[in-house]
Amino acid sequence: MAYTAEIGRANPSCFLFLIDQSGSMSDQFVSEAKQKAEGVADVINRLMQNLIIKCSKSGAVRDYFEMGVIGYGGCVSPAFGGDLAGRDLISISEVAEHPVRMEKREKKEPDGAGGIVKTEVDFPVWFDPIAEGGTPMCEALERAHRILTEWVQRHPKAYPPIVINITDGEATDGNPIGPAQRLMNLATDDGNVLLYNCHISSQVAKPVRFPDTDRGLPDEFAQMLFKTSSIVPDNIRLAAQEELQKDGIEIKDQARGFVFNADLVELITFLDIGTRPSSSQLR
Amino acid sequence: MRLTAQGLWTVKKGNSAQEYEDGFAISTEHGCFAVADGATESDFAKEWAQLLVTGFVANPGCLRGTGRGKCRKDRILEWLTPLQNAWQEGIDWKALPWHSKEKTRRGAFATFLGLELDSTLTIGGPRWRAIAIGDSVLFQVQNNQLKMAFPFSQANEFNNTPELLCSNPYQNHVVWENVRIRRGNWCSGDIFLLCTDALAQWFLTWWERDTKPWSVLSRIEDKGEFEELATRIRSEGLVRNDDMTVVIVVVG
Repeated sequence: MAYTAEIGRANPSCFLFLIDQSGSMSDQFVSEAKQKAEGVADVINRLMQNLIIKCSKSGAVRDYFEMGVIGYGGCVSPAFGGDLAGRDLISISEVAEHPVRMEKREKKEPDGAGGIVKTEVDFPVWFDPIAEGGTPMCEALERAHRILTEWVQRHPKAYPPIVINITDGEATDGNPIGPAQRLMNLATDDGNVLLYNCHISSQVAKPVRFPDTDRGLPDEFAQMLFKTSSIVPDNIRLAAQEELQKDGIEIKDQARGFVFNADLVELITFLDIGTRPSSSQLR
Repeated sequence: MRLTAQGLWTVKKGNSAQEYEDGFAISTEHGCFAVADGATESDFAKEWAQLLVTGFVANPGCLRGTGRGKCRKDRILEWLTPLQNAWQEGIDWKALPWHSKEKTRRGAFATFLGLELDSTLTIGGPRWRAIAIGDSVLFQVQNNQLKMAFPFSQANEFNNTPELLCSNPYQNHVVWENVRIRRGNWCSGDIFLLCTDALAQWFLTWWERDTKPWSVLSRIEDKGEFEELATRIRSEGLVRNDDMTVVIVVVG
């Protein structure tokens, strides 16, 4: 169980996002005038953008990954809209071509001479905030299990699928630990399915990233999500270390793929698809 | 000084020849040779690698006067800056899709290794000078013994975030302190091999096992034979699946 399989077009891996679209996501963050649902939409749009840029090459997107997004709230169903609606898994190149819309965002960058310049960049949007119904997280995990059972059979030698669950943690259809464990028991020859959790909370509590213990987590939902998060594979942990150290975060041996009111973009950035500039070089 | 040289290359298994992202250039006339390895996770890296190697061999003597500090940086920028400009100008920015625009704005990245052979006699014999940024490696073989490996000399020194030279000057802020320059003497009969990382790692692995990998490489006559060797190397599982390139220079 090494998590060392080469990720390539002939042997792609898979990302499956589970996004909480329940009514409780309409609660506001305490620290900013923004709904949790907007926080979820931001996280998923940014993760998708990062993944696609990672696979972008000479004007095209290489199909290193298949992607799926399951929304859970009023119902549990594929969450892509527009041309991608209704489909469970889609090649990443197709996802790149079909955002729901393209926005312009302002980005501040150093100008290389000590100043700051503002530039306008394209920001693709696939998901808008949705908040309705209960939080059928167990059903979403079971649906992920069905999709990935078939996927790992088709791709026995692949780098294992990565499931990213973005939620406020308050499941309304039972205890998610059982379904999460069944999902993490699925495996390719290279390792078990990785389940990472991104906990979006309206609580006033310090952000937490990749803890190795549930002690000190702010509430029972965070503790439950910690328990259902995979241990970060060694090679990703070691590669992410340098980046996280800059922010004063230590990522220990048994660190889990769990964050609380923070993002987990490092777990994507440091997936190995070939030589990349070190984080100290990119600015 | 009579020089013979050949470049051998093969693309990463599973990729097409158009996706080859290493580059190499040979100028026996100027005594200049170079290899570069475009980084997978950057865009238009193939073009950047090719610009670097061709730009280097077209500027003989560009490693003269590359002492430490500012002087070294200024000397390198003399030939590097026009290449960075050429890379920028070669991109049709308006035609790029959103994901490519974002990635290309960061610049293309590549490792670089350049070698100059000088026939001018100095104390100790005629000189060579080499520049290295990243993990492409120069080997000097003398009397059928490995005399020198630069900048790496052990197989365990490789990882997937080597130092890289960027087409965007702004991203080279950490590079200057890591530019490695080396000088030495050569004599008739020497063989120089400039290898990109996967092949260099294989070379050092086998050398550490008391074999002479240069003898395998210098017997190769064409691309077909090199591809057979690459297939064998990959099947040993000792190095990552990657483009492989070597420039072999024999000093007559």
